[in-house]
Amino acid sequence: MWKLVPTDLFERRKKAYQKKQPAALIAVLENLADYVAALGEGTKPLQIKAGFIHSEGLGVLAIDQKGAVRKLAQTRLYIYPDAVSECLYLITLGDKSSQKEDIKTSHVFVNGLPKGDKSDHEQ
Amino acid sequence: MNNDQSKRFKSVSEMTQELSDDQAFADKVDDRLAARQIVRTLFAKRSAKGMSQKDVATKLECTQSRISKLEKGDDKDLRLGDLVAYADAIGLDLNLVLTKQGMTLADQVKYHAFCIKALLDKLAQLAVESGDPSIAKGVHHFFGEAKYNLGLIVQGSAGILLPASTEKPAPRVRYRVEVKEIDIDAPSDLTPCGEHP
Repeated sequence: MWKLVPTDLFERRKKAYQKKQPAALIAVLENLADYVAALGEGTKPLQIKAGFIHSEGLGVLAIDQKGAVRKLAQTRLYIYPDAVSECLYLITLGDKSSQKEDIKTSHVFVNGLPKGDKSDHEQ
Repeated sequence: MNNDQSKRFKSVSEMTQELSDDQAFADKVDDRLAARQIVRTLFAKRSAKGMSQKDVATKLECTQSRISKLEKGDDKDLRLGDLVAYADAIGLDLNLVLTKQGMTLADQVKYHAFCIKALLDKLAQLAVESGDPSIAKGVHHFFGEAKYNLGLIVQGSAGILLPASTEKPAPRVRYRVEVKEIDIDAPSDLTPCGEHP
């Protein structure tokens, strides 16, 4: 069974978004729940395709706010699904302005995971 | 970046409730998640089948944007006809269950147990009506497997209780299914082969 594993960075950003952009954060969490439901059906992480999922390299995925009824500020949640341990790491949360830095942070995070905890994302 | 792996959550709802210092926000997230349970399941089932929105749209002879809209909408906006067609397009049957409101989890388990009993009775009846001993034997074999697997399911769930429970755990009973030695005249071929603390 997949488990959600938030980082402390995600927790801090989530708190800030809760105050700053609550509607966008809720939309992202709804999309995250959809993604988790698909994982729960036994689907391989990278086979889950949807308009709100973006591949950011090294197995990192970004989940955005798309799908909400009204237009919301672009918000992206960076995740890393590790198929071996069935841990879904919630790495960080950001907007368009922090996108480059967020992707870089996510890559550093994935490279820092113990080897045994890392899926072969090249497959 | 500190990665405190002691924090692990089974669902988005659980995580939001645990991590949020704003209960109103956490409840709002829960409300939104509850509003889209069926469409979320549709998305998850489609993904598991390896089908794209376009694949479903092609089968339903509609546009991809219609499928996208359906998957991103709320359950209350779903039309029953669309639900049936969508399920059919991804190779699934739709089963609707109407139950009384406010059923406890225990009530739900009992409800499903009665459903299982009704299905097993139906299967046994079909076997009897067929008049074919080989079918009866096959059904009897299946009943043995079902009994074993249902026992394992209950035992597995009870296992979750053990670390938190201060009471002495119930003894585990292991069953052996001897497939080749099934005697359809015998009441059961499941033989308890010992108790294990």
